[in-house]
Amino acid sequence: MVEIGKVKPLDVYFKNFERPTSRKSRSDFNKHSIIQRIESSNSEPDSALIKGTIARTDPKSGLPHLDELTHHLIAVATASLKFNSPEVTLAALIHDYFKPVFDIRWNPKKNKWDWYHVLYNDTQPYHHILEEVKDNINIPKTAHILKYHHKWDRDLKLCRTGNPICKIEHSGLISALETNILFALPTHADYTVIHHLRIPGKYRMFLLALLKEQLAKTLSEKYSEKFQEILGVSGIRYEYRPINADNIEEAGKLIKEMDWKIEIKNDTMIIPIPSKFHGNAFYFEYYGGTEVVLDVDTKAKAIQGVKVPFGKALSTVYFAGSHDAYLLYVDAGFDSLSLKHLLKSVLKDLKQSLPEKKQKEAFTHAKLDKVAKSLSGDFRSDKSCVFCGEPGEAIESNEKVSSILRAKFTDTWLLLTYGTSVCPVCKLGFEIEELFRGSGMNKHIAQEALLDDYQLIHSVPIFGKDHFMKSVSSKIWLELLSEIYYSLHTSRELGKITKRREWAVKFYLNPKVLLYPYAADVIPQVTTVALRYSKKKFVLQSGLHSNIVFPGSEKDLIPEEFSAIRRFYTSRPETGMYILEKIKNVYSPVFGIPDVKIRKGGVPRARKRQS
Amino acid sequence: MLRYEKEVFLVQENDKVEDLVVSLLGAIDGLVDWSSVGDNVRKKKYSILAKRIAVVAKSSNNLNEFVEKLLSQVAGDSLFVSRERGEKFRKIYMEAKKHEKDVLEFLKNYPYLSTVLYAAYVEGLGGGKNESDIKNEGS
Repeated sequence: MVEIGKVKPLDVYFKNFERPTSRKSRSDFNKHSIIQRIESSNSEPDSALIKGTIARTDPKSGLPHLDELTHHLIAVATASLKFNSPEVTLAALIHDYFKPVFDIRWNPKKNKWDWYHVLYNDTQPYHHILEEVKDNINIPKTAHILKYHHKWDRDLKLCRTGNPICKIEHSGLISALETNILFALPTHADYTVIHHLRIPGKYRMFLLALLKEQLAKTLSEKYSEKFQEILGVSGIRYEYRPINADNIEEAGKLIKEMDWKIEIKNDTMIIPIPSKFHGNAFYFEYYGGTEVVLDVDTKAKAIQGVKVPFGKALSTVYFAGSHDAYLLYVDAGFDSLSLKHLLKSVLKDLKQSLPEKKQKEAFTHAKLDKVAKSLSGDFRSDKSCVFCGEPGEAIESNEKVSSILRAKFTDTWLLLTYGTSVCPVCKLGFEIEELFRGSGMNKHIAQEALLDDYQLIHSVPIFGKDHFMKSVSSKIWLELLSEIYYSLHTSRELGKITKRREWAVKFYLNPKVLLYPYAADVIPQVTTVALRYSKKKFVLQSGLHSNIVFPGSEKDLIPEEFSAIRRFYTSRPETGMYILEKIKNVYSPVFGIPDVKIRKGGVPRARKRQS
Repeated sequence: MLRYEKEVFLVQENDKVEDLVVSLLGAIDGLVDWSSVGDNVRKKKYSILAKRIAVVAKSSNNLNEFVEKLLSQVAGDSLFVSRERGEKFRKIYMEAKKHEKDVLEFLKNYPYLSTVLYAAYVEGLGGGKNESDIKNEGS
């Protein structure tokens, strides 16, 4: 009897087994607390998806906010567009400019550490970096707004100087907020715009996913236009550059010596940021596009920058139970985007992607007023929808949804229970599904990435606790981390893995985030709404699954499994390519995994013959 | 205030349980005579193995039951057993038995993952050389 290729591997298992890690040493390792590991670790991970800086600490508790500095700056700057002042927006863009220098000083009056990041006495460095834009912008005014963005009156709960940055930073957008509980939903006063949506049932979730996507796309354009209107640029690029300075005054001098200036290139404002801990430069570019784009340095085998669409960086969706959701975005002062407007754009884009034959007939009966009303829960009726239970209306014979009345519809039994009314939202969802029945559609909503196993890789007095605070902005940033992870497989450099590109595996199986002074493991997550099932009811037949790392046709891969894969991979990096290949084979993920090409067969025949 | 609870990740507490699972699956796989199995089945070997493990692990109360059921499901009565192989299998089985609860729990909770780790490990070592046809087996 012939055995197929198992002798060698099994022998290796047995060899390994003769010297297992002793249980004692294993338990000793487990005894180390997370903080102890933080203290002992000092190395930077090379599989970082992004390299940024922690944005801020809470003034009361001193706990760090889970947000990246450039994301915080762009959120405040976008909210500041509402003031229609280039000085305010420019000041907002650089109000925490010196934070990455980590100039932490003991304040004996307050009996606590202070994170110095504003030059009060010598404002020359600000004037220097802003020199290129001095013709269009009042620099002293900008420097003044920037300098006094911390004048908060605790008793009156007001910004003493009326400083716009101060106002934005104390709003619900930026300040601490428990984001997963909706007892304190941000309001218009918090520089946010919110749409409430009713989302029971699959078609409503499907519409939500389409609307979220459209919202991000529309917002990217709108924010970009608004930046263009106020500052004359359509994108903002922050470049972290290494600097050897212990305090902000020293950093200010060095900036002048090295002649760092804010520049405008290709319609983009480039802002160099001095960073004490960055070993190499890393950039974040916020732009008016639709996709997250990674800039990969194949020689350095590292990601050197990331382009983030404004819309994805400044909008989110909250779920309140299984029946309600809130679309939220940063208010930049333009007219609120109505649901009807967004729906119109969704249908326009969908129509364009259809074959010409289908385009003529598509959505001719859709009544968007009714759909918007029904989505926001304002549609009234005595009948309930057969798909979602929300108020419905009678089915007209010319509507696509009338096909459910035919006996071939597999869920006809549902009609016997509920009658034959369908709400306007489900009617539209049904029509979209019918129109794309042949090609199917993959729709998901990015969820907040899990950050696990924090490590303090640089010793900074005010940081060291294993706790973080979250704001609306943090929620968006964590979702953005998931988006960044899922852009790996669409990247030109990282989307295909061969033996030569084996180094790229680390980004997939051991993704990290550098949020100086912290480093953390990232676990991305999505909620799946529709999965591509060719020639089938791809919305109705897809399950609504949340907290999924890779949605699979065979089985979904969940965060606990991802965590175990990471541990296995880090202890045996040589198995990385095979793990990715096997995930593809066994789980059949719908997206997220790259193409893996493993050449098998060993030595070519010609060479074999020679030997 | 949010606290990230590391306890969520079960496997963090069961350090190296994956190694035991990988070794056990290797030992079981080594007893299966894959040459007597049809090409179609062999092409989908790991998918089939994952599904079988999922079913068998759920209905097993102990490791012995798991091994017996899995072998009968995958190999039927066509096993490849030599004295040497049997001895090696026994060693691995006894080691896994020491951590029976953890191993069985892992197999029950993560049958697909167990298969992925085992398959990756085996092929990473070159064991998959003769299994070049086990590619793109996803359904």
